[in-house]
Amino acid sequence: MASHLIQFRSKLDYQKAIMALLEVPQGRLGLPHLQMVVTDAHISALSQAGIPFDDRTKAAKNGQPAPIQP
Amino acid sequence: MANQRPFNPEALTPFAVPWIKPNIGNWATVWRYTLLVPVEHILADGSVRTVATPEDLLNLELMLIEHFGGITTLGQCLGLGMRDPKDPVASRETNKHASYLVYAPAAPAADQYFQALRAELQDALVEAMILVERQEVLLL
Repeated sequence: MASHLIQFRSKLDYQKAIMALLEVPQGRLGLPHLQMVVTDAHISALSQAGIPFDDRTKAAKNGQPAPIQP
Repeated sequence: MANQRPFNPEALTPFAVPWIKPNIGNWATVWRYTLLVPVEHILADGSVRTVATPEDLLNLELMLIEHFGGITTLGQCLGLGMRDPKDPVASRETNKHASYLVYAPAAPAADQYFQALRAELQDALVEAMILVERQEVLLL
């Protein structure tokens, strides 16, 4: 299960996301600047609900450790 | 019965002292608070009463993030309960809660903050009891 650092563009989108993600059993993190750390299940729920977000996850190059987030 | 009103984050400003952010590091002892905020009451007759609104949850979550640097949510939490122990059948209900985990310093200021938060939520949502738990944890 992958984790994603995502950011919302407005408080309204963040508010919609809170309600959509209530139905997801997995936990998530809330961070400053309208950011969340979420799982694949949360990403699916947001996509299904049509809530826009930016994926800030930094991918590691093959064979290298993941960079420190964000 | 008093009417519900929006949750007011400003009520917590006096309790958000600068040292309320926890020291998250190796071998740090912190207090972990679990907060359960009722979102819906589903009564025995099937009717649903909305408690915390989406705006309440937004304001609560952004306030906790600002004061503590971040939060963990556990997703929706279902629970069974009854309002009146003398009438358990008629007062039976199912509750849906939003749940939050927050790390705070092991200090009286943190207890004062969460007691004030509980009082504000109880007053705004017209709830007799908002559950706030505290556990001491050691971060390895």
